[in-house]
Amino acid sequence: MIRTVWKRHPMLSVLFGLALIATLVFGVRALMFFWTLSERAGRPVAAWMTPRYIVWTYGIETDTLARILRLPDDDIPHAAVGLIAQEQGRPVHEVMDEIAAAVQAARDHGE
Amino acid sequence: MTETLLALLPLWGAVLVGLANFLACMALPIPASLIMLAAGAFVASDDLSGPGVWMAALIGALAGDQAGYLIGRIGGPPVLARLARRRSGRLVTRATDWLHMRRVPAIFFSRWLVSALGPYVNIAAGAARMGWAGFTLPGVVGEVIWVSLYIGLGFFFAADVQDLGDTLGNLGLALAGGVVAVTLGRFLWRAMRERSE
Repeated sequence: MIRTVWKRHPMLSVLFGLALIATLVFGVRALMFFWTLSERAGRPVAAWMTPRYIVWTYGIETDTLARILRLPDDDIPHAAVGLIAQEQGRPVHEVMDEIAAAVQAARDHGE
Repeated sequence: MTETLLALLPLWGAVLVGLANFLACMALPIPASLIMLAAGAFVASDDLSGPGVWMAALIGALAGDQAGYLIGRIGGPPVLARLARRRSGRLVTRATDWLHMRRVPAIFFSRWLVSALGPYVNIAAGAARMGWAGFTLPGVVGEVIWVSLYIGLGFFFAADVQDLGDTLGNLGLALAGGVVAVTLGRFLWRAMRERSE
């Protein structure tokens, strides 16, 4: 019976098989990513984040971040820290390392 | 590309959110869900305006739906007519009938729950000559849920947007795969039973 369906609808049978595989693969991936949601402590800061987002999310002081970004703490732009560093002509990875160190220090201080 | 889009989001704001949703609703590979989650997070951190982002996201999604529907409406019927003359003709008729019969749940759920299928449903709805109001009304309700859900999740879980985006993106693809598998499985099962009777 299965062979008959395969002969009559080969394309649909292949699509059915692919859909089953996709369900399984993406389902497992979703579970894996869901598991990493609980690993919040190890998440690194990223260049797309804004200063306000970093302050809000990682709990570091605004003036600490403003000092790293060489900005006045009452005039922080709504822009990604990577773009701010680029505009200042500074290597993005160095600025990110400094922010990561400040975040780690804030965590250590909070523990 | 994702990191670049996220970095541009605070600068371009609502325009980027609207544009991303428009292109994603036309089946272009843009991470619109992640952009909405991140936009929600930037609203929480006071980098973007909530109402502006929400409105732009909704307008972009609705415009994308309409564009997909229009493409299907203009380009679809000749393709369907050609397919109907081939061996797969009966199959095409059955698929078209199925879409008309399940119009409301197909349009509504493909906006937000199985949004990965949304762009293809838009084109199929146009090609099947579904009525404009019948397509648009469940579409608007579904898009309001999609936009509010993702911006809301980004707002309330701002710290987890990237992991949340990965989780929901994969979950959405798994659900889309499941829906396609169940639909095709039912069709093949019926074909098997008809053959054996």
